[in-house]
Amino acid sequence: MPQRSSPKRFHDISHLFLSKSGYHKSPREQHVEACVWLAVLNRSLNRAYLAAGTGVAFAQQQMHVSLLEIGRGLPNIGYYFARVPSAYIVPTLDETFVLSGRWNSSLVFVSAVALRYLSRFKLESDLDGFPHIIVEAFTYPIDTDERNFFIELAENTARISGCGECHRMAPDGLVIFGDGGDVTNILSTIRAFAPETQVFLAQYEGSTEIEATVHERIPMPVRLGTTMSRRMPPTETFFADLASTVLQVLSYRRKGIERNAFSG
Amino acid sequence: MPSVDERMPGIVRIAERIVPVEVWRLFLIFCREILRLSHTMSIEVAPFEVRFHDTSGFLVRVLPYRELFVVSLGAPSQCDVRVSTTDGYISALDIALQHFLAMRSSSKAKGISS
Repeated sequence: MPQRSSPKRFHDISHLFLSKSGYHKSPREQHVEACVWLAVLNRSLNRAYLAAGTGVAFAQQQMHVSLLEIGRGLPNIGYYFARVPSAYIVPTLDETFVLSGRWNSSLVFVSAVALRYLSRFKLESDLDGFPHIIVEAFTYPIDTDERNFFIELAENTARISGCGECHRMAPDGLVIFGDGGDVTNILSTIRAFAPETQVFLAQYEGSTEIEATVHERIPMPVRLGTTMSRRMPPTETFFADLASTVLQVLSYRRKGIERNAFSG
Repeated sequence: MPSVDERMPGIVRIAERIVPVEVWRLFLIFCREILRLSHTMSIEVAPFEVRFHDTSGFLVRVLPYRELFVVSLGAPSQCDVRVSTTDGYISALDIALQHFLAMRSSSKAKGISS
């Protein structure tokens, strides 16, 4: 059983990703993909802040990141990727507007009020041989039919991944930010929809631990968010730790190791 | 907690004093987006203004007039923005959002939960 050591960077462990029959991988030969959903449960949490921080943290692990945000309300990730107000505020006036852009050579982002507006949207992403990860953030509970939302999101993921063989791509990982009864609800839904998805629960330190079977619990600092007003992605160490943990767990799972040094 | 839409009727009533349809629309959208900023956002509809405040200390007053509306941040007012066009709406909402996020950040730094 591997011993716990300092979190490895993804390129140190990417060789552990193995093809698995029935698992929908991109047809691009040397291109490894993973998909992670971010569900922001508590409405007091800043979805865009968490999404931007997580996306950039994955990019810093030598990955190409396609970051998608679905949901209403400000701020959206356009704020944190320094888009001018006349760009990131447009969805409040025209909900069909899809905000998109590139942060650097490693991260492209898209934000839309609802999934249906992404159906014909083409994501531009160069994949220069680096592993590609798709990160999709949304607010939970969903204000539409939940199971349909997950199905449509999985279809959207398949379309973005370029996987011509599959109509849907379930997430490799689901990170739940928040606490309360909604944790139980989303766990129930994801387990029915995609039982192989690895689930991570990020709760504030010191909050009542929720009875829930998840693969990894990641404590969120109570003071997470002190840079919330800055027009740039957050760089708190929490996000680097989160990305590293998620990638480690996913890599062990790909190798077929059911349990790792971190689970109970 | 009532939904955003459920909290709009009082705002719709006070918006009736705005004459230009486009400004009226921008007023309603602005108020809706402020409500969406936080699930703890409180709203008071007074005879001549709508007041939004949050547990973080964020406060904004929106005052509808015949041809425009004024967005006033903080108490005492730190910034007033007159809105009669889409550009004015965008500026006002951007400033209000940044003010809200600054108040939230400050609460976080003090270890105050929200």
